[in-house]
Amino acid sequence: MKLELENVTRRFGPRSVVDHVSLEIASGQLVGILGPSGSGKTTLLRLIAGLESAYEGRVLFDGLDVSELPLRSRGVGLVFQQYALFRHMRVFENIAFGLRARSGKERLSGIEIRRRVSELIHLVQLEGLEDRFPRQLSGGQKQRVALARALAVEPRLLLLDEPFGALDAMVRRDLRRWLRSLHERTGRTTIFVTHDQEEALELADRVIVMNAGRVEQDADPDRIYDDPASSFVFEFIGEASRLPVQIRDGLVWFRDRLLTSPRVEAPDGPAVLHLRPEHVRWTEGEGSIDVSVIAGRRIGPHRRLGLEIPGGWGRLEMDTDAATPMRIGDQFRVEITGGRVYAPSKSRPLQ
Amino acid sequence: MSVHAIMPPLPARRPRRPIPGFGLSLGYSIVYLSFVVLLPLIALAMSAARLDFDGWMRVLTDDRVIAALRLSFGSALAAAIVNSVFGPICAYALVRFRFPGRRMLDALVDVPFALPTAVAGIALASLYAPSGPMGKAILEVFGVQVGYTSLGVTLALIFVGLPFTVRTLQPVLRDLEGDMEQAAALLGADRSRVWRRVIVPSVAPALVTAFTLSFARGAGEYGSVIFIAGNFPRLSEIAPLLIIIRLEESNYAGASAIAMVMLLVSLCSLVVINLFQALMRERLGHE
Repeated sequence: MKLELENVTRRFGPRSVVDHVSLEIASGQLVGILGPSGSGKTTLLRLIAGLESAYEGRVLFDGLDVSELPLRSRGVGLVFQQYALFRHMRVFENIAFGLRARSGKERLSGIEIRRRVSELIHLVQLEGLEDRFPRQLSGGQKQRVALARALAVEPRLLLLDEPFGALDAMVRRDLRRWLRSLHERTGRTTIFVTHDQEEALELADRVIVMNAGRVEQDADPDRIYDDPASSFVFEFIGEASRLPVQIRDGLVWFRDRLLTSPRVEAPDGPAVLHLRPEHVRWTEGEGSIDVSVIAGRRIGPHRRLGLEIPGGWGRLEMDTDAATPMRIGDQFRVEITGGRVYAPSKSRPLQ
Repeated sequence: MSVHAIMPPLPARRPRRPIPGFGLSLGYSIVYLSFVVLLPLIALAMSAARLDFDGWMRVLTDDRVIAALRLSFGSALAAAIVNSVFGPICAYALVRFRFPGRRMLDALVDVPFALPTAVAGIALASLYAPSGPMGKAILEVFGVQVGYTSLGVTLALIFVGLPFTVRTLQPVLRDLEGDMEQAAALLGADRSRVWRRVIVPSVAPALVTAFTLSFARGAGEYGSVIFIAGNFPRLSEIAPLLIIIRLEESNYAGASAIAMVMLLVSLCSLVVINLFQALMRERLGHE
């Protein structure tokens, strides 16, 4: 199903939680809405589900305005953040709820319901737990019951609110992979909300980054990581450090040194260079910056070093081979091989 | 010589409870309950025991006693059923929605709690008596007399029992996040299905507690009932009033016998209700 949002706005009092958001999501996409808490991402999801109503703008399913459609006719499957399982029903009845709620011609026989629920239980790998109550399940199991319950009614659109938020790292990783493969098999339009950038980049075909009720960037994961549209996105996605620089004729200067990063579209004057650890490299060459090591921590196969530029000029981070011996206080030189400078309108001031 | 050889083995110590004050609080509870609940009940049983078998039979077969007991428990039951429907609806409105005057309404629920029962009784009687404004209107429109009948008794018991059901359901409904209702609606359930399959089963044990409280309060209610009841023997005379009449006749044994019967009926009801509740908790997976 194709989903369109036209200028959707939701206010709570004077505050716009979702501020003139327009989106078009094609049928079959797997979209991640990413943002910090308070960015309006959950409200946006609830607007799409119909649990909130927009003050302005329209929500269209396959070109039809669904604003006046009652919840039960929307054909939306929602997996709530806290799962919202029916506490007094066993797993089987939770999953069967939507099928039993059908009326008229769509009504299914008991045998048919049993068959469908068994299929779903198999799909979410919960065999043997049909007779448990929700409180007798672990977080990951509850999550899968909630998913099976939402899928049972074959929704046109599947929405997930922080689907893996409350789960431990291992379960998270498994469920993420599982959800990805489920999406590939069913091809159902799916939107999930998360505050975890790694999750969004890994799982989604398309990532919508939100901040303060607005869409900051809407692109595929590669674009989001390699070409963040604003300093907010740059810093929200992955590790980032900031360096105070001067712009002269589109060239970036740090004190009296010309940095090797390409020309930037920013007016002359002071600016902020945003860097990732991979943009900082150990060197002996020209145009380099003196640094001293102030911290080191292990990140997977690398060691991430915290570096200080003497004289209070700023701090950087860089990754080194974990085997390289490095001690706090060691001094060496680095060069800058990348990074972004944003125009003032897309940048936050340096504190 | 090692230390172990000279030290006698330590006596096995009782494991300490993580929360202190068990002995003290339990001791207080037992003493308190004994003085306030248990001793009076024993005194009642002793008083009733003065009656011989024939005396008991006389009390138990007296149709005035039977009618009074039936009225007290019957109208308490009816009132509890009514309150178990309207109390939760009232609680739902107060919990789920924000509207002007909500706090006022919330405070109004407490009035039957706070009002001296005699005041409530007089207020109800003056309103619903056949000559009162409401009583007159209902009599004219529906041809039903409220005051001085069992219907009036039930009405008074609904009045005193309502806050019990509302106040019991309110916290439970508050805990029941709106999420579950929204999930049910998104899965295609209409309002009535959401109520029948989601809300009511989720609050069922609390509903039974609310019913029990309203019933127990109603069965023993005196002050708010006697004015509107009219107290015609065998027709609108409640059991607690009959006990007082017996006492005024200096028939202490007879009064105790009626009281004893009330006590036994109440106890049996409570046991049955509790068993039912336990069964339901198990079936609905409540903790």
